[in-house]
Amino acid sequence: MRTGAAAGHHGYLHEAVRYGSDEELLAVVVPFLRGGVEAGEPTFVALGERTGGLVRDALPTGSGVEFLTGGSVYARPTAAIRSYRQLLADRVAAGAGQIRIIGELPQIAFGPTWDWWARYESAINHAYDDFPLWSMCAYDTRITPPHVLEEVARTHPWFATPGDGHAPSPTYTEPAVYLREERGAPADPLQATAPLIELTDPTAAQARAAVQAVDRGALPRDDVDDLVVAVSETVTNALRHGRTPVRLRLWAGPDRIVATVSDAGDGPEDPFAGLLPAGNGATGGLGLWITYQSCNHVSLHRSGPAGFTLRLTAGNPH
Amino acid sequence: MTGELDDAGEELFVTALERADLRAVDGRLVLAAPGLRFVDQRALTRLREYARRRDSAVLLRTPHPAAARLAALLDLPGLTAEVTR
Repeated sequence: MRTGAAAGHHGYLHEAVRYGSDEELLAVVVPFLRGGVEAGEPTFVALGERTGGLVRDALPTGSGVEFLTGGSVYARPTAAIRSYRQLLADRVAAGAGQIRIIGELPQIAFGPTWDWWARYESAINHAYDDFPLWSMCAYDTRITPPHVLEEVARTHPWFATPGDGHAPSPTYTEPAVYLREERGAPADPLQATAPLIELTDPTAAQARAAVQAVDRGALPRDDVDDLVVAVSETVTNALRHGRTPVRLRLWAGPDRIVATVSDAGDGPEDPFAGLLPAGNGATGGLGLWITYQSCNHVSLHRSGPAGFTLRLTAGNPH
Repeated sequence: MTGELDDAGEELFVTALERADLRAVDGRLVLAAPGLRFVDQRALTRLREYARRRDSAVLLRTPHPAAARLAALLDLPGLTAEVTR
């Protein structure tokens, strides 16, 4: 059974909380969490250290609220979707009629990797809709850039405010529309320099060897090996589903390796590509889903003269 | 089993598996691949399909942690990869 503002709602109720003070955050979150516990619902907090501490202190000891570590939940969007879907499926299997979660992206997500978190916020309207979930995503307006807040309004169908207020977001945009838009991730400064390696129509094996060749030992072995997997999948997809010429470019900085794979095609048709595993292997969706989980940032670019470009970053993308 | 397994060698890999005609022990095939330098998701999927046709699970023993991480991501019932040193 659904309770609170989600009473009578089917599937996912996805709300944003824009707070300008700690008091405002607590005024929304504490009643939300207490209401969940009182209704016997699995109730989770996935906030950062500071705001998580505030909420913990505002709740009675042994409140029944479960705390997840926000930082590790929100390391990569596709992994977050995967772990939340597992958590939700487990709780529903155990008989939950509703699950409540309050989450918050770490501030670092509002920097150069914001585009894939914006895609996450949009995609979960679909990805969590299989479950009786009521969640709130908290955004501190004191530290969240205005352009991020605009995207928050477009990806959350509802806003929650103190005093049990719930208002629809006027600019909410359906994921199938939103996810097809160009997100305009900023260029990595390395891309202003000549690539260390540029290959046209490489085989997947040549592409893998090229990644190994630009590795200067600055990154952990596992990170480089995961980038090798990601580049191999991306080049295979471009050769199978894109249009030639396929171009691989590689740059290496002191703390990262950046790869771009371009082809003359239009990119994946599935708006959720990368964020959810595609059911149909013929579209190349599984390769992109693996790529999203093997890199610290992946961005899609459709508007360039090259056609479709995927940029993959191993190491520090910030 | 040595070399790299990707899109280019996918059909050859399946043919090689069929010819090898591996026998399961206690419902599980074990494939030791100390010389395997790379394996992609298609090859892992084909390996698992091959095992299923033999009503078996399959364990891939590989020195590459990335292959084991990939198998864990795919999370296909009956397919596991174990890192060997």
